[in-house]
Amino acid sequence: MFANDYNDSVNLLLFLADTNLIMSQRLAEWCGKGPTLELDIALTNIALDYLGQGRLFYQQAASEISGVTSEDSLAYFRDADQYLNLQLSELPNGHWGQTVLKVYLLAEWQQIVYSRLLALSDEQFLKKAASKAIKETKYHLQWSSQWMLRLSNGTDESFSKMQQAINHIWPYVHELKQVPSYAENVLSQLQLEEQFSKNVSATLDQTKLVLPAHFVFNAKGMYGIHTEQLSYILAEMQVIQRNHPNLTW
Amino acid sequence: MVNSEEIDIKQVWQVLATVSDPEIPVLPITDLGIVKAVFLEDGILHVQITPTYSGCPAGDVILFDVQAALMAAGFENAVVENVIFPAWTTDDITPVGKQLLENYGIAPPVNRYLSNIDLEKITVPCPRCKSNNTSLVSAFGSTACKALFKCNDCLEPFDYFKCH
Repeated sequence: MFANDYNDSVNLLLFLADTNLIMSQRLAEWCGKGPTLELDIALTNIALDYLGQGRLFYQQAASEISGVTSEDSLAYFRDADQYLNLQLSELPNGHWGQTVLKVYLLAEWQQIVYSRLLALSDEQFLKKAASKAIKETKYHLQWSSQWMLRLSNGTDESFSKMQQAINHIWPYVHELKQVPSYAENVLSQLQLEEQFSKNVSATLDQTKLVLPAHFVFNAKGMYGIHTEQLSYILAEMQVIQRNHPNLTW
Repeated sequence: MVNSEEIDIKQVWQVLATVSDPEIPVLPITDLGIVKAVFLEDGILHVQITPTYSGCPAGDVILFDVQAALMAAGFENAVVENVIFPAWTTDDITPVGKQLLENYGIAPPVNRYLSNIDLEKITVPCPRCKSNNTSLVSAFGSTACKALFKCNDCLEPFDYFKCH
C-alpha cells in the first residue's frame, strides 16, 4: 500500500518533520490576524518552535538520504503524496477555538511521542532531537490546554464554538493514535493509543464537551494520503522555490 | 593568524565572551550558557554552540557572529559547530548572566529547569521595582524564550525569561 525509496528511519524523520512543518505553515496564517496582539505573538512563537523542530528532523533525514538532498529540497520539492504529515496538521485553522484545539491535540501527541523517543540511547539522533523539542512542547501543551478549558467553560457561545470544533476535528484524531509501519520498532501502538486517550480525557473531563459517537475516519496522512487542503498549502509554500530554484535571501 | 601550537583555549573563551545574542545584546553567549565546548582536535580549533530554542532565529546569526569574532582574533580555521545534545536549559545561564538580564529589565528564570512551568502560579519579581506583586499577561512574549508579565505596583510591563 505504501512505498517510497526511503528506509524506515528516513520515513519516520519525514513523518515528524512534515507534521511540524505543515502545522507551522498553517499557524503562520494567523500572523497579523490574532484576536489580540499577545495571542498573535503566542501563535507565531509556537509556529516558530514547530519550524525549528521540523528543521532538525529534515536536516537529519537529508543526511541519511543518499545523493544531493537538503532540508530545503525535502520541504520545497516534494509533492503532496510524498508528504507524511498527520492530516490534522493540514486542516484549516477555522476559528480561534478550532486552532486552539488543533494545537492542543498535537501537543498531547508530541508529548507522548517525544517522551517515548527519550527512552532511546544517547547516541541516537531521535533522542537528541526529542530532548530539545519536548521542552517546547510542554509550553504548547500548557498554553493550549488552558485555552481549551477557558473556552469550553466560558460563555454559551465559546462553548458552542468549541463543540463545533470538536465535531469537525474529531474524525481526524484517530490517526494520532496510530503508529505507522515504519515507526513500529520505535513507537508502541498500544502505549500511544492508551496514553493519548487517557491524557485527552483528563482535559475533556473538565468540560461538558461531547465527543461525536461511533465515528472513526481512517485518515492516512502518515502514508502520503491527504485531504485536498495539503496541495493548497504546498502551492503557497513552495511557489517561490519552484519558480526560482535555489533562490536565497 | 594564530598557529595551532599557540592556541590558548582561555583566550578563545575571551573572544567568545565578546559575542552576544542579538535578541539580548547585554548578555554574552558565554553567560547565556550556549557555548558547549571549546577544544583542539588534530590542531584544529572546535567551538560547539547549542541553540536555546530549536526555532530560534538568532541561532544562525550567533554561529556566524562566533565565526567572525574568531577570525578577527586570528583563529581563522576554527570549526564552529551546532550541537543539540545535551539540550540547553536555563540552568546553564550563569549567575552573572541572570544579573545582567535583570539589570536589562528581563526577569531571570525563577525556578530550575522545567521545575514549575505553570506561569500563572509562579511569583516573578519585577526587575524594575522588585515587587512580587506581578501577573502574567501572555505565556509567549517578544521571543519564544520569554513570557510577558506586568507589575501591579510600578505598572510597568516586563519580559520574563521562562524556565526551559
